Order: sequence, then structure tokens, then C-alpha cells
Amino acid sequence: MGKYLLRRLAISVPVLLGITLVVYVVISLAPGDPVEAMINPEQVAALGPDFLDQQREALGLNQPILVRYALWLKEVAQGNLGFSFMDRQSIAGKIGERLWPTLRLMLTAQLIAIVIAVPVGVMSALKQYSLLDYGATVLGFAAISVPSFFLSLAGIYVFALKIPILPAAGMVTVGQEPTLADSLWHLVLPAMVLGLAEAAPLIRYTRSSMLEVVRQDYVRVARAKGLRERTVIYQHALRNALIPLVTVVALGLPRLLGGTVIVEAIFAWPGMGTLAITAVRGRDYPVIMAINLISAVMILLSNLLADLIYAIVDPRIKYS
Amino acid sequence: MADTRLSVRQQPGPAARQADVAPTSIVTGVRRRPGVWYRFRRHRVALVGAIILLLLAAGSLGASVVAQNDPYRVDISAYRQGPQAKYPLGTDSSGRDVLSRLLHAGRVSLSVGLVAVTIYTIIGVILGSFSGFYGGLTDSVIMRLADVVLSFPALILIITVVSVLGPSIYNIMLVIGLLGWPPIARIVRALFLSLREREFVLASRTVGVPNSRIIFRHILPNAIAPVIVASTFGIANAILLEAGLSFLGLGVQPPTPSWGNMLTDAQSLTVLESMPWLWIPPGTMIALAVLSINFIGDGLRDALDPHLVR
Repeated sequence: MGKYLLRRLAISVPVLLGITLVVYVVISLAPGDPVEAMINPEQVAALGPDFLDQQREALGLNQPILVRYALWLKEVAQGNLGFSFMDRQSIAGKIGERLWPTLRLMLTAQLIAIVIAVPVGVMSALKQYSLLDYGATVLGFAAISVPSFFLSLAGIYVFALKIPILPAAGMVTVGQEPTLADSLWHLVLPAMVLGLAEAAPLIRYTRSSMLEVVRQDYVRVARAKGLRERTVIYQHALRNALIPLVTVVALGLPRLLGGTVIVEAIFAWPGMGTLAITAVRGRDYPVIMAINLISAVMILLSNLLADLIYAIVDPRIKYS
Repeated sequence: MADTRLSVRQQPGPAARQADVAPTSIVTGVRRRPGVWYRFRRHRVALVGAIILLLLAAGSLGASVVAQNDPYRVDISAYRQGPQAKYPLGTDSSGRDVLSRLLHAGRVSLSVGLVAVTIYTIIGVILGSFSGFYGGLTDSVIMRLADVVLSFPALILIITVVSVLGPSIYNIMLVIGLLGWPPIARIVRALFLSLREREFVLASRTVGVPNSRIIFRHILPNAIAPVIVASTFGIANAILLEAGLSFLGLGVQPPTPSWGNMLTDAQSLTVLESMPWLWIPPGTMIALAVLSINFIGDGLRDALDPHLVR
């Protein structure tokens, strides 16, 4: 197991290097360079173009791109993500502030999705081709077809404007002592919007996984030895049907992270998504680079975690 | 009545069923392709989807005929006005006709989806074919590349590229087109892995058919059905992606109308609360378009793969 983990981590490294290298090269294609962006044009006029070249040399910008990438990697390895073009603050600090709000939103949404999808998927499978089954399929299609920003706007319209029971934006009420209840209150709408979209594919997978499992011999054995139907379904069938969902949830994470960007923008949620959009609008490349790095690390780690959970819930699987 | 005919068709007798599965032309006696169109038609939800999509496409293509007003004409005197005789869906924050913009936006949104998916389908088919046909190092390199692209949140990568290239309708098509290929490549590769071992490939090799011809003329036609299904779902996703980006101001730029950027104004609570004509119609159009394409994809999946048990 430990050996497998090490090997998986070792495979993740080239993937991570690949992603960051591609992003680094793409970003370096951007017109203009940090020196022009940073230095006052009047100063440039006074000091001449040689001054610009000196500055570029000082920042290492005259090096070939691969050398610059290697230098960037070296800094990242030491925990230095660089500084924002826009406000000169440490990017590591910025991301540190915003990582937890985004994770909180994503985890809650994922939890909502699972809580909705598992019962609905199981019922759909047990009552295949029933009204409930068709209803779940159609609703599932609707959930993946309505854009999350439209659903968010509709949610704000109904639950914050027409029937004002939920907050329209933000993570906590401004100017008030932060309490758990208050932050949960702010979490409801954005997490529901994300969770609903995420639930739709999960319902489909739960349903087909359950359909597959109830045909297995061990389910027939459980019935044959006279167990109650409830015990058969929930103790014997469901536990096995849920195993593949671990992978489905993990594979859905990149999509969820993308959805978070849009939902954060609408709800003014102070997370990575709003940071990314602000950075893109301001062409704040070091920040964009760092966000790409962090999301790649998040995705790779969660895939690894999914594999580990998989080995725990399914003892048949032996990694070697 | 149409209804009775439909229900009769759903339980065809043995003779009818045989005729449906392998329709034989009386004139030539040659078996035609099994009734894909027939099975698609029987999938009622897909048929509804196809009709909705046709209506949306017709509305967008005939936008200049259907809508009386120029989508770009600014009427200062009509600032954010509600629906009225002259403007059936009211006017936006620049006094432009919402209905006219809605129809013209359909062109933009639908064509972004179509072009982007065409680009990545071509890339995916070519890379997937090579990967599955040649195997070995080619396969490893292409599939690792696919893993890298796939394990990445598309939206974040896209906004990164947009930040470099600048937001525009062509850049959106290009970026989605360049990043969307891995699922298609994986499907094609998997099919090639099994198809390349079949006798007809061996037969072609024996008579000296060059590899490129075996790939594109002999194997690929057998692998095309799942690609069509995946691409159809892909168009729905691309439309959603474009709408999201345009909504954030990182996609299609005003004054060019797109369903996504028409919703941008609704980020203001005033617009959201008191001017529903500005945001409900474009949002509904996106949902309708995406839903109908997803339904069509579902119908195609069932129609093209009769062995599928659902």
C-alpha cells in the first residue's frame, strides 16, 4: 500500500510539471511584460530603453523560457508563489485566505449532491421505469441543462428578494460578530445551486450501479436465506453499489471547481473563484499561475484520496 | 390519430419488429442500414428536443426577419423599458430591443457550440485513432496528454487562456476546441483497440492497403456512432461554458449579443428584482437549447446502440 502510494505520487509529479509548464508557456505568450507593466512610463522616457533591459535582466526576464520556468519551480518548491502585480501582496497569503472558503463551498455542495443523489438513485433503480424513475431522469437532465448562474440568479430572486429568507451575497453578515449559524445561512443558496448540478450525474451512476448490484448472486442469497427486504437492500446491496461512486465523485471534482468559480462570482463569495476572475480581468499573471498550480494540486490529491478510499471500502482491491 | 399510431408502434408484432430492425428494399432486395432514424423517432423526449432545437435554430437564422428592430440600435429614450407593443420583450440598459438581441444571440451561442465541438471532435478523432491504431509510445504520449488536460478544471484553464488572448467569440471557440478533445480521443482509442484486431483489418493489410487508408476508410466508419453521441452532449456543454464565460465578461463581448452576456446586467439586484424581462428570457433560452441538445444526445445514444440496456 505504502509502495503504491509512493508510485502514485511519483506519477503525479510529471502530470503536475506538464500542467504548470503548459500554463507557464501560455502565460508567457501574453503581450507586454511585467517590467513595462510595473514601471512608470515617465521614468522610462527619462532613463531610456537600456534601463528597461537592465530591469529585465535583474528580474531574469531575458533568460530563455525553460530557465525562467525552472526558476519559478525553485521558488514554488520553497513555498514562494510570488507577488501579485496588482497590489504587491504575497500570493501565498492571498490564496491561504481564500482556500478555505472555496473548500467549504465545494465540500458542502458535494455533501448536498450525495445526500440528494443516493436515495433518489436507489429508489429509481428499485422502481425501474416507474414514474419516479422517469421523473428523476428528466429532473436530472434539467439540472445539468440549466446554467448555474441562471439558477443562482433565480435562487436569489426567489429566496432573497421575493421571499427574503436567505442572504443574496457574501459569506457572513458584514459588521456582525461571525457565528456558525450565520455562515451556514450564507452557505445555503450557493451550495444548493452547486449541489443540484452535481447531483444529476450522481443519480445516474447510483441508479445504474444499484441496478447492476441487485442482479448479483449474493443479493439472491441474502433474499433466499429470508432476510428482510430492507436489510437486503440497505445492508447488502447498497454498500456494494456505492463503491464505484467514490470514483465518480473524484472525477467530478474538476467540474465542481469550475462551477464554483461562476457561483462565487455571483454570490460575492471571497474564495479562489473570485480571486481568479479578478486576476484574469486585471491580467495579474503571477496570481493566475498560482491558482492554476493550486487547482492542479487539489485535483491530483483528491484523485489520490479517491484511490485510497476505494481500497478501504472495497477490500477486493489490492494495489501493488 | 397520431397518439394511437405511436402506441401501436411501441408494441409492434413480430412481423413488424423484424421489418423495423432490418428493412429490406423490395426493389433491390438489399438490406438497408438498421433503422436508426426509426428508433430515434420513437424516443419521444429526443423528438421533442429536436423540434425545440429546430425552432431555436429557425428563430436564430431568421432573426432579422422575425425581429423588427436592429439588435444593435441604441434608443436612449427607451432605457430598460418593460415589454410593450414596439418592444415585445422590453429594452436593455442601452435601450436595445431584447427580443431582437435574444434571437441574434442564438446565432452566436449555437455557432460557438457547433464550431468548438467540431474542432475538438476532429482533434479527438485523429489523436484517438493514432493512439489506438499504433499503440506503444504514440499511445502513451497521447493518453498521458489526455490525462493532463482531463484532470484539470476546464473553466480555470480557459479563463487563463482568455486572460492572455483576450476575450472574443473566436478565442472562446478556439479554446474550447483545443481543450475538449480528450473524452473523444479516449472513446475512439478504445474502439480502435478492439477493431484493429478484427479480420477485415487483417484482410486490408494482406492486400497492401496503407495504414492511413485502413485507419480512415476501414476502421473509423465503424467507430463513428459513439463519437456522434459524445459530440452531441459536447455541444450542450460548450454552449453552457460559453454562456458562463460571457456572463462573467470573459467570453463574447458586447455589443455582440450572446445569451450569456445578456444576463450580465442581472448581477445588479435592481435589475434582478424589478426587470425580469432582462434576465429570464436569455436564461430560459440557454436552458432550452442545452436541454433539447441533451435530449437529442440521449435519443441518439439509444438509437445508435440498440444493444444498450437501460
